[in-house]
Amino acid sequence: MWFIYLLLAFLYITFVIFVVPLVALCAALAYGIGLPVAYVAGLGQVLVVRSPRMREPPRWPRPPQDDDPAVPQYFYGPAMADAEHAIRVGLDNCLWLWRRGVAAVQASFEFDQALITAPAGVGGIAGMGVGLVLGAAGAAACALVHMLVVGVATAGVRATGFALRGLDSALLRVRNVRMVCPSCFERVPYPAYACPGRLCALRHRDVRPGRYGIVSRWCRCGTRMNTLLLFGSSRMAAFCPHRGCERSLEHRPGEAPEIVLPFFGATGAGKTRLVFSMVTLLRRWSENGGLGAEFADSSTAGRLDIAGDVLRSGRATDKTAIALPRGHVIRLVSAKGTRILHLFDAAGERFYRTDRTQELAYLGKARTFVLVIDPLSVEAFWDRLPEDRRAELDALRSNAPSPDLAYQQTHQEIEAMGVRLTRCRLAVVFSRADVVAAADGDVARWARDELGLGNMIRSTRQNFGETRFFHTAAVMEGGGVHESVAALTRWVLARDGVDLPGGTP
Amino acid sequence: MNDPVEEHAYRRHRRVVFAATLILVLGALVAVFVL
Repeated sequence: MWFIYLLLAFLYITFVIFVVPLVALCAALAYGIGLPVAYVAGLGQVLVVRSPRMREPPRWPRPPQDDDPAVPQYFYGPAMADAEHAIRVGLDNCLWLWRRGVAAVQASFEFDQALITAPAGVGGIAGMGVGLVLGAAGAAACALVHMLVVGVATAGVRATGFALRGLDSALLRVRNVRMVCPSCFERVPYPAYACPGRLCALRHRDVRPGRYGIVSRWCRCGTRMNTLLLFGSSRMAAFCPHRGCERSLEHRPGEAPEIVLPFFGATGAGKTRLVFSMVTLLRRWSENGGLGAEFADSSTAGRLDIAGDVLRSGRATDKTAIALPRGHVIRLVSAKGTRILHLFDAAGERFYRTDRTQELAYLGKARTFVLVIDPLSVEAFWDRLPEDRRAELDALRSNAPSPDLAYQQTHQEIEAMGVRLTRCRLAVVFSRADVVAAADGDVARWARDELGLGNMIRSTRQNFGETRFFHTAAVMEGGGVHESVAALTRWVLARDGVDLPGGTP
Repeated sequence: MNDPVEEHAYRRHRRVVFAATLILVLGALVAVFVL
């Protein structure tokens, strides 16, 4: 009998000797491989499967409420949130695997045949311990690799965004593109854009590469938008990014250098008429094929479409409102490229008082100015005219204060805006050449000797880097615009790379 | 989470990150065994 017991004991010990290490090996392998696999499965659940039943991420980046209505770029927050989420889900998977092992071990000691299953449980405990260490190391290595991928991608994407932003700014600078809002007169660092999506009215204040996208961004409505002028963002509807203005910029800002051309002078000097004649001249050149000139926005078209008719009819232009003017925007396409021309024509009343002139912030953005003077408004000249001539011209004459006042007031305000006048050009334009002829064609001498504006002439030459004097007639002559306007227009636009055709159309 | 626009916008990025991670992990595993 004892022999049988001895044999059974031998067999049981043999069984234990084989089973314990075998189960331990299996458990170690199961957990050493299973835990990393469970982690990678968690990664797949978070990054690929995206089941709605998956647990919520511990945190999710939300941009500020008043920021652009765009989806944050993946590597500006969401990627790290996903990494954290994947670690949590992976850990859940690993815990589930561990708990299953623990339950199996516990059951091995509770079975009726525990004598048989318990050695497997003992082996399982040992194997799970070793497997846990190996598997945890493997899972940690997987997490490390994932974090490394996210980190490198984040650094690369952000560096690319920074470089593209810099490249775009550099290109704008090289092409001398400096944008100005024709409504609020502020410099536009970059246009804001409306979402191009149908039925979407959301506006994006800064579409440049950054937290909302590198090459493109997603509007909250689900529409994709280009981020840079380089990538064609100018095809979208632009508007002024300045809070309080936010008016439409229909002229596709950013595509071409902009020219700011302010007209100033006393009330009734003929500024509006001169603007009308310059615009009519540009359009004539355009019709003849020597230059492309088109109204760049509907507001300009609405106000200047009648310019030619007004000049042809010979009737006076409407008095300019004292309210802040909106710039007339004209797109000029010549052999040297495209230019956006902003013509600012404010009422003369704005040039007598400091507070009113200060509001004309566009003066601080211009490099060429046009001062318009009605020679009939100069008392000394008017008084010397014969009586019958005065009676003839009385209806045309403006009763504004001296042109000197408007000039002094304005040039001081321009300087106060930080403009270095020695780098600027001034066209001093005496209007009404059709009724008042200048002697010999030397306009400056005529203004000094006949009009008695010597002090002002001297002052313009001292203050501005370049001054030129013109005597223009804003009238139609022989079916075309008076040649004096063509000379003025050529000089005014010469420095800004606009290749104007010769002759007068 | 569960914002359809965000889900759509991030889908490609997430897949690229997952694929890159998987390739690197498997590559490291193969390298360990081979070397």
